[in-house]
Amino acid sequence: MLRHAITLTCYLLVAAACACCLEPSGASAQACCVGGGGQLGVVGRERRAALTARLGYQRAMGSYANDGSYHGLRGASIDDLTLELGGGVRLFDHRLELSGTLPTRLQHRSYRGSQGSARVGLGDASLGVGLMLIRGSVDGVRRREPGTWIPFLDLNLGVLVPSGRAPENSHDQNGADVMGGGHFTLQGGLRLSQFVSLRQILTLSVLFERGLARDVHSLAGASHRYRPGAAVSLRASWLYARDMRWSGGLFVTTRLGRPAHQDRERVAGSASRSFSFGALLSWVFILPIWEATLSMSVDPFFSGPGRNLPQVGPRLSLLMKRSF
Amino acid sequence: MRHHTCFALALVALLASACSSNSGPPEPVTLRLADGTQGIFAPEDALGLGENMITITLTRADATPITGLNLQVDAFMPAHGHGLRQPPVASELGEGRYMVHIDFHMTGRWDMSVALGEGEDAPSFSVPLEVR
Ligand SMILES: [Cu+2]
Repeated sequence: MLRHAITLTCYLLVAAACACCLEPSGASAQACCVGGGGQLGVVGRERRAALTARLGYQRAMGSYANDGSYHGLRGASIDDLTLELGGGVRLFDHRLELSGTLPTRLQHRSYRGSQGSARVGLGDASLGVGLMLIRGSVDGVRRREPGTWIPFLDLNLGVLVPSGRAPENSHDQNGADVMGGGHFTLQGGLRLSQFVSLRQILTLSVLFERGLARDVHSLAGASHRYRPGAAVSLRASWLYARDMRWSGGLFVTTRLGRPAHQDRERVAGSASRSFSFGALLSWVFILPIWEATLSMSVDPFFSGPGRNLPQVGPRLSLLMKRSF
Repeated sequence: MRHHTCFALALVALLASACSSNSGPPEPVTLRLADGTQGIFAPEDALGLGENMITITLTRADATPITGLNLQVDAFMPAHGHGLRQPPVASELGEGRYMVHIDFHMTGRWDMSVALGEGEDAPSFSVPLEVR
């Protein structure tokens, strides 16, 4: 019975780590310039290493204007398919994690009055370092035992590498070949995970992102020094493990972007805001090493929650993970 | 019967308001340069993804139309740091009126620059546009 509980805890830890890395940076760094927002980390806390493959699909259904109004997409279709390979290893008593991801993207764009186009290319890669600052209790919160209230606390640092084609280097008339943000992004975040019971984990995470400045130019040759706005993402998730094979959960994410700067001047009205929510279902189909996780998330399709988002819609992803 | 007529009228009114809420051309934008040159920028329809047509009417300070210009049009998305994927095409309609064909590949705020001729010294308008 005790052994069963410990094993279940291990899987919950693995699944919780998974739930946090389900929407890696590549998922939202689409042809537009509102990138990042992803969480770092790949390897479950009780595992030595992991390899992952994530197949993701996103369809744009609308956009948010600067005033927060939602507008359905008119006369256009925008679809992104992403295959992201990732890997990570844990060192020093599992306290340090090194991880990386590399997405390949297939993007289709079709607008009124022009021929549709589809392009394949690398997206922006990510490299991350995770450090377990506090190894928490896995016993589930019990009121009279303060030791069970100690949460796991992880520090994550990372960088997004502009391996995807930048907007200013696009050759496709619809911009279907724009696969990345075009700039390095530094990331730093904290993740707090609390076992509220033997079967349930609540996780709160915060991620700061800072895109580095670069020179950009328009078609006619006008050149600008552009720096994307810094951003902070907040994410809350709840995860429930039914048994050693099945677990599921719900999550909400919000991302607040500060204004961008052009030629050192703040671009008025360029702050952004996004909000999405979703659910995931995880299945360990070969104990304890192979796991599949299906995740769905969606942005609201009414005015208010978002601001300055050129493409919002549903996202679906399937993550396959081999742990070691 | 009266009930049905009222319902039908309400439905028609609702449909009419729904249709008019998001379609139709936006208000023209009127801008002036320091020397009094005036530009009126009037999209043919609500600006959206893909091809759009914008009529530009140019007049001098004394209200005479400006003709024979080779307009240089470009657009940039300052919030994202990128421009267009295809160069806009401008053609003269006559009597100071010009037609610009411009393709947007992203919704949001665009700054369209319209230079009244070639060369860096040509006077130019910067027109804010909202693509939805
Ligand atoms: Cu853009």
